[in-house]
Amino acid sequence: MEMKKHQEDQFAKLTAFLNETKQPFINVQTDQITRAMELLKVLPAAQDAVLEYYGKFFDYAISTYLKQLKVQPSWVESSNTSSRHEPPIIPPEVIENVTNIRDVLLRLVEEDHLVWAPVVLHWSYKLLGKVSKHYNMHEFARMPLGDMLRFWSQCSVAYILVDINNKTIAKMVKSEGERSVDSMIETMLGYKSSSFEWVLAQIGDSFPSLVIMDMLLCGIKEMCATNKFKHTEKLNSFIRILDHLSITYFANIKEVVLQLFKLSLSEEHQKMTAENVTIVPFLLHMAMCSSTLLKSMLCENLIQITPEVLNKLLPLYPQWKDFFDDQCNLLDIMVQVLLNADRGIKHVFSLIFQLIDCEDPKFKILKTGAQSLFELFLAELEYSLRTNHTTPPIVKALVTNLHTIKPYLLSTNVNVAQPAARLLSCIAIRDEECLLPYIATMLVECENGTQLETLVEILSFGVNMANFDGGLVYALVKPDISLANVWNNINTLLSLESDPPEGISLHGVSMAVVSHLDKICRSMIDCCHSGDMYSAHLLSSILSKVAAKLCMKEMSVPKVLYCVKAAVLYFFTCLFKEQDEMFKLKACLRMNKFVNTVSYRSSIARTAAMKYILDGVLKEPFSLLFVMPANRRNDYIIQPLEKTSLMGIFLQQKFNSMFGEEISVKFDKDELHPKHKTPVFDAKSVQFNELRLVSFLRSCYSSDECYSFEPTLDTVVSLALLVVQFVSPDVMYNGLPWPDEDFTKVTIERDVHIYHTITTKPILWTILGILAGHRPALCYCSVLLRAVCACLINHWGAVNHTKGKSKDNPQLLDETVKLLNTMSLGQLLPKPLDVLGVIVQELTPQQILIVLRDCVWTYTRDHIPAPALFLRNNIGGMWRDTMAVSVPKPYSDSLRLTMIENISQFGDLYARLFTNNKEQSTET
Amino acid sequence: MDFNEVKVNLRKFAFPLSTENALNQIQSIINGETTRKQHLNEDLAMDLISEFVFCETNEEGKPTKPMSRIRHLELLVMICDYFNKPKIKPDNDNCCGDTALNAIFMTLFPQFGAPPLRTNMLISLISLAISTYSNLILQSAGIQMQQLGCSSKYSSQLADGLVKRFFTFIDAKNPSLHLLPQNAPLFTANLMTSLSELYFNKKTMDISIKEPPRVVLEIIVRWINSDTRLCFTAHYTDLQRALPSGAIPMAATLPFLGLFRWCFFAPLCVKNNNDLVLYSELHCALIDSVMEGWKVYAAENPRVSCPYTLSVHSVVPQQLKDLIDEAIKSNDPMALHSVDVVLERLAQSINASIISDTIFGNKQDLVSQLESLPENKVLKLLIKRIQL
Repeated sequence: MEMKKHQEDQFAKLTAFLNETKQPFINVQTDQITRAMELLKVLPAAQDAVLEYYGKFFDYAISTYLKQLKVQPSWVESSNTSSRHEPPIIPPEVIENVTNIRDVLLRLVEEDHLVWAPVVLHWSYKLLGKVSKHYNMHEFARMPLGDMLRFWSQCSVAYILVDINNKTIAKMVKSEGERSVDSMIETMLGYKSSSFEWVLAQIGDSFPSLVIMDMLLCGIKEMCATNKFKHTEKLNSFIRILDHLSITYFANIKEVVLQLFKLSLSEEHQKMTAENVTIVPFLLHMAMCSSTLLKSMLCENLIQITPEVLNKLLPLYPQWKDFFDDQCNLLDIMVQVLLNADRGIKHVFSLIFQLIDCEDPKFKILKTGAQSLFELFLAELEYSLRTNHTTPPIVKALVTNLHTIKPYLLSTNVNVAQPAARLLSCIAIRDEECLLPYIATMLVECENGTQLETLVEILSFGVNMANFDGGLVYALVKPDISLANVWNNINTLLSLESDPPEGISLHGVSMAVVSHLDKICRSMIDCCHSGDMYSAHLLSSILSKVAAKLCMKEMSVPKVLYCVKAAVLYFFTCLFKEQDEMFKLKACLRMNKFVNTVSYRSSIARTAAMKYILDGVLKEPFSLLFVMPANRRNDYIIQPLEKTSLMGIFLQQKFNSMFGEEISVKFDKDELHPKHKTPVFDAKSVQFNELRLVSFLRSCYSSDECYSFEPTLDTVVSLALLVVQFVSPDVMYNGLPWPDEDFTKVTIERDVHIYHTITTKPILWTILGILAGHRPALCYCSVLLRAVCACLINHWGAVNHTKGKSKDNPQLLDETVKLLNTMSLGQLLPKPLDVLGVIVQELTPQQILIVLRDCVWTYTRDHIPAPALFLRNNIGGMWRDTMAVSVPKPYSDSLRLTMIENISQFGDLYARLFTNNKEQSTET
Repeated sequence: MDFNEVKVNLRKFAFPLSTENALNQIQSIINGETTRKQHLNEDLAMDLISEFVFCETNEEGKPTKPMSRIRHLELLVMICDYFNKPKIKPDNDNCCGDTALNAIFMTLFPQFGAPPLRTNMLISLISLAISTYSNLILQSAGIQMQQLGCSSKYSSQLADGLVKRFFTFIDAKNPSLHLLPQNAPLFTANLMTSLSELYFNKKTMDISIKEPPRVVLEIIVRWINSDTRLCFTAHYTDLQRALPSGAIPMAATLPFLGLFRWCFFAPLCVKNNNDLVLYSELHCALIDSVMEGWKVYAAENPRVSCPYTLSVHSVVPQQLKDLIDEAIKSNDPMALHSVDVVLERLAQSINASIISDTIFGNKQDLVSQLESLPENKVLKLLIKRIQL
């Protein structure tokens, strides 16, 4: 009986429910909803119907919302400025009912999630799909995902529905673990219409990893099934969702991608499912379509991918092949992906270079793969850079990440360095600026041939040479580096420029170097001061290499002077310090050439050069170079060191003033202070030094490049004047005339000084000899000769009193002979006085005194040795016509008488001088 | 009456009425004059059912859109109502129900010729019938299941559907389930047989061996305990009375074999301890039923022949042997213990059926079957006893 009652009860409930379903929703009361809920629990058979009823109610609630939208379309249009319009309102009782339904369902889920969660989830998913479609069938056909989300988020009912969905998933995830909802989400992902996208995006907002993973797995399954990658509408939809999620959950996306990737890294390939094999091709394909995925792939997670890891993937390749065809093979895709890559590119490159650099035979296939990939990539990059106006996204990323390839540029492995160089060159096509620091770095850091080769590679690519100058500037201003290596590299580059190997053009290196001449010179001076001969040689080699280019460029006067100074200093330092004769000789010749090149265009340079040479010659320490050991006198040591202008303050370069001083102090103390060490040069080297000096000097005033021709008179005259300037301490009596001998008393101190200088620096005789050779340049040195002569006369006079022999004063005699010979050579003493130099050696001091006073002093006093006396002869030289104008008797008589006194020795000479003369005079 | 005329007449009505009328019409067609054009009548009944009852086809016989769930429920309620109405024949046998209604049920839910959706309908209907104590429907369903075979696709689908859509949602303490053996013993027995075939059975190409849900296990134990004769119901029910004239009753299958298999497999497959306890209870209940059930019934009805509870050939399936081998190979003490439990249960059940004399097969075959199993004390004793 009870059973019957129960049966009737149940049927009554069912009938009541069925009747309610026929009523319009507007009248639905809350208790109806709860009554229906009882059925849900008690009568499993009625479950579907009740859920459908609930669904319909939701649908109704949303449709009231949508209907209001239709009434106020302006609200949709001005959704951005929605503050003015209130969003449409759903009647509160409807909202209450909807909330009730939600509570009911969630309570059920909470009570027994194993049973109810799938049911509720399925229901909410179906309903959401239906609602979305319903909405879509309304007026707004295809909307961006963001708008769609915004639109739905304003609909509270839809929001509640999503809430039910998400809470149910949350419950399942919480009590059964993440994977329990996979199948459900997979079902959801099976949606057909893009109108459902927003729902997944919403779920994704709550369970990012879950949805992302399942979406990707779904794509993989599809690809696996068709054995081909198809860019379907579904994938587009996934991509849109991913893009949406990437705003907040980018880290999750990265994590999921990594997880997926790891799935394909199983140890046993036989056991792997087809899906796992498909992962990598799928991800690659997807990266082409979705920038979000691309970014998530190319991120710091790449660090975890090592060559070992890739090696594990290798056996999968044959299976991957199925997913690529000819139009779209693996490498092409990877290249495309790379071209679109963003910041993560640095990790890719580090991996690629790591592979290329790898010598392990295990990774041979990978290595070749990486190489060909990179080749293709570079080719593609270059092509697009050269043809398109748009820049591939990678370029920007590369420019900012260029520093990461620096170590590869400097790699000693050609296989690594070369691709890196090409990469840099490619980027330079679009952005030349970026080259500069790398050229600079390489100039500074290249230490061996391979590295330099890379630099050459970069420079010879395209128009990169144009940036060399800039790079050099960068390199030279880098603080805290030793420039030695830079110079070394530049030197090598210069040699390559002048003698370029096949296919390489380094035209422009020397021009760039020329503009940094002052820097080179400065370095050279520093090296000379510090005694670093190796660097000095290097710099000199650079100088001599760019010398040819010097003329092409207008150079400022200070620069010219500076480089001349450097050259001269280097020359002297070489003679002074270089041990190897060969190097010494080479250096000297190099400098000859250099100075010649510089000075033959610029008289300033020439004058400066000569000035510096004289300065060096006359002052310690370089004057020691030219002192024969026999002539060494004690006062070299006791004499205080003078400051030469080579060592000291230099007008133009402020920086140098301090610097030079510092150096010279150091120079003095450490190397050359006589108390510490007196450099000794043996006779052979002094001769050599003299020889070198002369040729150096010649190269200064020679007017052509090979200094084979005679210099112009002007240059020699200027040398003569310089000599005077340097030797004579006074400017007053430097004129040509030889005054009365007594007059010398006025200038006695000066004369003594000149005499002392000349005798202690015998190299001056050599210089005077040169001057004498270029008549009438010696005339301008009259003052010097005069001073020497005056001093000699006095000295011989003193000797005369002691009645000694002239041979007892070898020094004095030597000076006398030198003076006389020089004067004869310069034709200051015409015939027959020109033999005096030979004769005096045999004379007594008394006779020497007479000869000097009568023949030399008196003659030159009366016949002032003016340049006007010299005439140009038929072979182009200047000549004093001594044949026509012979020395008047009073001046030669002393000589003649002296010779007669010693006729036993000079008979032959006498006959030639005077007898012929008489014959001539009798004839006339 | 012309067929078309019938349809045209019915089409004059809208949903609830049209269906009601159609059901009456069908009843009169099927249970009316059987002499004239039996097969044509059946065709007409089928047409009427699909057009007016389940609304599967439209006037032209083309498929229509599936009906809504609410409509669906409405229809189910109507069918229930229809079956529950006082019938021509007084309801004196709670086992076989009404012959006329059985015929209608068989036409409504035939084995073949109905769209797949109707299976869902059937499941929902049975589910509703259990909840609402609509015993006649259940009795008809029990007969239909037995006629078509409890392990047939029809029955398995029904049993599976009920598990998924009814048992999982309902509490094992629900009174409607408790009263089921009283209200519809044949249906209950046949449902058990069908259920027993669904689990621990590799026939269906499944990769893993399925366990029954706990609810199902609990309720079966409860059912068997409530009535030791329940499992024999199918054997002693006289179907001939309940079937339409001309139909041949099918032999009964008993749930013993399948349920014993559950008990043998469980120790090796089930990990949950609570469930294992239930399986022990099930085993006890089954042994009890084998020993007592038939005895009780036979004492009351001496003329009925003796049924077979176990068959020598299928008592030790190959799968079980494989599982036992696997467990021995693993050499895990827990697994070895489980093997012992299995062997003991096996010995007990065979012993029980020998005692009750309900075992089918050759003695020698049985001995050879048992000897192929690993050694066990109880089993040894059993073999000795058989050979005596």
